[in-house]
Amino acid sequence: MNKFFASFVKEVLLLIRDRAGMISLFIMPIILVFVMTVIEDSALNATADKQISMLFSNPQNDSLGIAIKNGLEDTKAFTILESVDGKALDKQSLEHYVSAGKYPVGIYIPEGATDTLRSNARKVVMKTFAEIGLTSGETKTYDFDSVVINIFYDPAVRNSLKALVDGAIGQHSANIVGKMISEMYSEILSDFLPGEKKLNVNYPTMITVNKQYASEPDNTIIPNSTQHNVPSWTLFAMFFIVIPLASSIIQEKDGGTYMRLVTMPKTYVTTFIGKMVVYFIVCLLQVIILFSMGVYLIPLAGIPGLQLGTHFDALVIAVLASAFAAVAFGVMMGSFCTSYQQAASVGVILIIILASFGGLWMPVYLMPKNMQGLLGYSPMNWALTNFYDLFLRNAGIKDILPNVFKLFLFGTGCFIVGFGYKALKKVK
Amino acid sequence: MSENAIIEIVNLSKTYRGSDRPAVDHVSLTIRQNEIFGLLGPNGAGKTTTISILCGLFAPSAGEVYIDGLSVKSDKEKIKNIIGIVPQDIALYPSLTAYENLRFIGRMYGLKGAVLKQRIGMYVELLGLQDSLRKKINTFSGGMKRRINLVAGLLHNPRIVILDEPTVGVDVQSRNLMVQYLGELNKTGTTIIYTSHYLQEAECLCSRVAFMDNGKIIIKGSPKELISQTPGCQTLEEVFLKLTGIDLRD
Repeated sequence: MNKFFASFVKEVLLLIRDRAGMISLFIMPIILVFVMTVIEDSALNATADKQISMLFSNPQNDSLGIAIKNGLEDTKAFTILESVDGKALDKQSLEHYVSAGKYPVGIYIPEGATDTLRSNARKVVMKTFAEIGLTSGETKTYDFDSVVINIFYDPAVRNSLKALVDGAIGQHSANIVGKMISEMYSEILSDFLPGEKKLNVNYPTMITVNKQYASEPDNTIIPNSTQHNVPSWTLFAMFFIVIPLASSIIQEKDGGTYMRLVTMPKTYVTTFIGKMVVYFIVCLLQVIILFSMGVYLIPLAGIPGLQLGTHFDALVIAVLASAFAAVAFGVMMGSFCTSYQQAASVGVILIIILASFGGLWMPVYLMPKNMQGLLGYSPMNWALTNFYDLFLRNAGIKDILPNVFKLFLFGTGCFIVGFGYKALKKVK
Repeated sequence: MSENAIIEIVNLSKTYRGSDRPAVDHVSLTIRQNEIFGLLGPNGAGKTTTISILCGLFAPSAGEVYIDGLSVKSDKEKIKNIIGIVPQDIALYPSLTAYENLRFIGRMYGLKGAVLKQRIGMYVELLGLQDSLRKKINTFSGGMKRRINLVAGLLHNPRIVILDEPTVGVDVQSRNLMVQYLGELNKTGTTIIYTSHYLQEAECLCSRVAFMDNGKIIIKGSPKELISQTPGCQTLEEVFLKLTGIDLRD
C-alpha cells in the first residue's frame, strides 16, 4: 500500500506540474463544451422536432383570434405566447420582438375582426338572396370590408415555417368564414319557415385524412445541443488523456526511470497501477466538471441545461465504463508509441477518427446513412449512446449494459494488447 | 559459486532481435565480495547489456548469472533487494524536487517514515546536496543531477551497487567527490561494479577491471597487473588503446 500510495502521489505531482497536460485535460474541454454547445444550439434546434415559440396578440379576445389560436395550438408545432415578461402584447411590441430576432413569428388579430367577418357574411347571404328574388326590394350594391391579420416574420425564418403558419391561419380563417356564412344562411332562411321553427344545418365530416407511416417510423430521439455536446466533448476529453498518459509512459522509458522502476522489487506493476488510477480519477473529475457545467452554467447562456436523468446508479456505471476504456486506450498507445511526438500525433488522429465515427462531432441522425454503419465500431459511440439513453430516454442500468459490456471488452483488449506488446518486446 | 564471489557470470550471451551479432558473447566473469570492479570498453562493447542482465532488465539469450548465489532467471525479485542501480541516464523525474524523487524511490524500496528521512538526509549531505533538496531536478546542474542519481541508487543500502558511467558529463569537482565517496562506500563492505570511459578514474578506483570489446572479455585483472603485463604501456588508457585499437567506434 505504501508503494501504491507513493506512486500515486508521484503521478499526481507530475500531472499537476505538467501545465500543458492540465490545460489539455481540463481547460480545453471546458472551452470546447461551452463553445460547441452555444454554436450548435441554433443549428440543432432547427433540426430538432421541437415547438416554435410564437407571439400572439388578440387584444379584444376576438372569437376569430381565439379560433386561430386554438387551431395553431392543435398543430402542436407552436408554443403560443400572449405576453412577454408579464406584459400583454400589442401590435407595436409584437413587431418589435420579432424584428429584434427574439421570436421567429408573431400574429396580430385586429380589433373588431369577427364583427367585420360577420358583417361580410351577412352581406354575402343578403346579396345572394336578393339576386335570386327571395328578399323583397331592389338589388343593392354591397361593400365588403377586408379583415387584415398581420403576421410578422423574422427574416431568418425558414420558408417551411412560413408555409406552416400561413397554411394554419389560412385553413382556420377559411373554416370560420365558411361556418359564419352557413350560420347566416340558416338564420335568414329560418325567417321564411312557419312558426318558431329554426333551420339547423349540421356539417358532416366530408374529408378524412388517413395518416400512416409507409414503413417503420424512425424512433431516433433527437438530442438538443446540450444533450449532444456535453457528453460528446466530455468523452473526447476523457480519451484525450491518451496524450499525457502515453507521454508519461514514454518519458519513463526514454528518461531511464523505467530502468530504475523495473529493477526495484515488486514495483513496476504497482507504479503502473498508480499511474492508471490517477488518470482514471482525472477522467472522473472531467465528467464531474463538464457535466456540472452542462447542468448549471450552460443555462446561463439561455440554452437548455443538461438533465442527467433519474438513474444515478446507471450514470455512475456509464461513466466508470467510459473512463476504463479511455485509460486502457492510453496505456495501449503508451506501449506502442516510441516518442512523445508519435503519441501526440498518432494519438490525436486516432481520437479524432474514433470521435467522428462515434458521432461526437456531429449527431448520428445528421450523418449519411452509409456512415452510420461505422458507428458500431467506435468505443466513443458506445459511451455516447449510453449517455443519450440516460439523458434522453431516462434509461436504467439494464438498458445500458450492452454498451457497458462492449466498453469493458474494449478496455480489457487494450490492456492485453498493450501489456502483451511490452512483454514481447522485453523478451526479444 | 567460487569462494568469496558475489557475482558469477557463466558463459553469458545476449543477441538482440534483428541483430546478426551478439551484444554479449560467451562472457564468464567472477566478481568478488567487497571489490570495486571496473567493466571497461569502447562504445558498443556490451558493458551496458551485461549490466542490464545483472539488473534483470533483459533476459539472457544463453548462459547463467548468479548474484549472491541467486539466479537472475529464477530469483529476480530477491536479487532486486540486494542491488542498487545507478543508470547511465538521469533516472529521475525532472519536474519533481530532489526530495520528492528520493522519497518516491525510497518508498519503492520499502523505506518509510523517520528511516527514509534519515537516509535521504545522510546521503544528500555526504554528496553535498543538502541545500538543493527542495529544488526541482530540472533546475540542477549536470553534476548535481549525477550526484542525486547516485543517491537514488544507494538509499536502500544495497550490498552491490552497479554504476553505469556515473560520472559522464560531470565537472571535475563533482567527479572527484563521487569517486571519493564510492571509495568510502566500498570500505563499508559494499561491492561496486562500475563502467566508465574515464580510465584514469578506473585506474585509481578499481581493485580489478575487465576490458570488453565486441561483446567479449578480452582481458581482466588489477590495473597494475594489466599495465605490467602489456609491454610499453604506462597507464590503463594505453593498455586499453593497445588492446582495442584506435579505430573510432559508433
